[in-house]
Amino acid sequence: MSNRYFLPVFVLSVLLILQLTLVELISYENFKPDLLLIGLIYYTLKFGQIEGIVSAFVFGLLFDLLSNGVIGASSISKVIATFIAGYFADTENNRVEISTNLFAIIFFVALVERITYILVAVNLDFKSLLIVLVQFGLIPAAVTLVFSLFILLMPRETELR
Amino acid sequence: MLYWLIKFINNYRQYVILALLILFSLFLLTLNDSNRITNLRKLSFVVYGLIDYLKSPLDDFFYYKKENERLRRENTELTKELLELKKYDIERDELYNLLNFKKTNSASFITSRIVLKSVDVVGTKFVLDKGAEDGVHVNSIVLTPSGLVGYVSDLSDHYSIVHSIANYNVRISVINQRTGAIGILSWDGEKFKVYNVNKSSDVKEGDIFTTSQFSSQFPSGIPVLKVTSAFRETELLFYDITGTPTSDLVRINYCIIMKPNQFNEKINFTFEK
Repeated sequence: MSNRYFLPVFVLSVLLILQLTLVELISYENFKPDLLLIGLIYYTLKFGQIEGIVSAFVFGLLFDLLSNGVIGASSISKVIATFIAGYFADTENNRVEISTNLFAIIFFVALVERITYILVAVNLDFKSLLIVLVQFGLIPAAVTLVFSLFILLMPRETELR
Repeated sequence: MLYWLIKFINNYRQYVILALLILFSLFLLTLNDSNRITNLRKLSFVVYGLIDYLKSPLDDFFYYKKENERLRRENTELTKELLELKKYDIERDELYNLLNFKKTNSASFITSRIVLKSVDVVGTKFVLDKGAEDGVHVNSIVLTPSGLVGYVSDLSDHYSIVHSIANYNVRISVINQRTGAIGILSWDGEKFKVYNVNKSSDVKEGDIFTTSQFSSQFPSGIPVLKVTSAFRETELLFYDITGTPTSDLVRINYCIIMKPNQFNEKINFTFEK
């Protein structure tokens, strides 16, 4: 496996394990960040749509299996989310520009991912939909955005704008 | 034709891959109840074992750090000891209630500790430290001395997963213990509601709803909900009933598992009326 793929697979595997263990232990009710999604968005922005959706499918499926969730729900929601993220990718330079746009993308994509997951995994009546979208869509997306600020701590070539 | 197809796939490969992955995910969604997928899902118990292993030192770390900060402000060691004692006091009461419950009932129950409480969009899920080797079965009922908690949805040799009644996909046929009014209990993400209770029946605040004889999943007579409000003034033919579960789903640390072959046993509950 070339270096181009080894590091992302390693990082995403670590994030998957952290998501399944550490996040479960530190999260409070629905205030739960999606570290795996942050990693998937980051690598989609770096390498492009196809690499993004394939890794989203694989890691989404692994997440469903290892979290005893609805098999296929995370994979479909993460595939759609990273496909959208792929439109913002800079594949020519293979880099992610750390700017306010990046965090806006993370929030938007996290929101799309949560909404897709809710629609696929939960049997809801229309009355409850709005409450659920806020509780389990908007709040986790906002928490994911807050946790994505850790990207600022990563070594980078570009300056913060 | 082949040239055209290759050219099409090459030009729109990301859409083709997206469509294939979505189709495959949808296919997997349809397989959720199959035995093969259920076996694959047992992989999750490796993670729950890991969480159980990690939890104690991590809990201690966060707990004591927070505790020390507070104690520095208050500058007293006595408060810490008092809090510790209170914690064990609550836990002791919980265990004492479980013991009494087991003594007053002839059916043999399995007492279990809750390893993890996970809140997902679908609902609250508990991981218990007892599994198939301890005699737990899928669809076993999980209780506290106060009432229903949920049912075992999946299990490994040493752990089981419980879907609590706070779950969007759970519907329970319930009956008012006082008047016999029948309804369907469900959770709307925030509150527990009882639907389809006819306005001609009698329901008031403080009434207890138990599982009814029409429930296909739960044995009848298990307390589920205490009514906090029951409004007749609705546009529909039915009451607008909300309530709180008789079991404190937020605070419980231990629970009792009842095997499916004991569903006919009479159980004495000790919930507060």
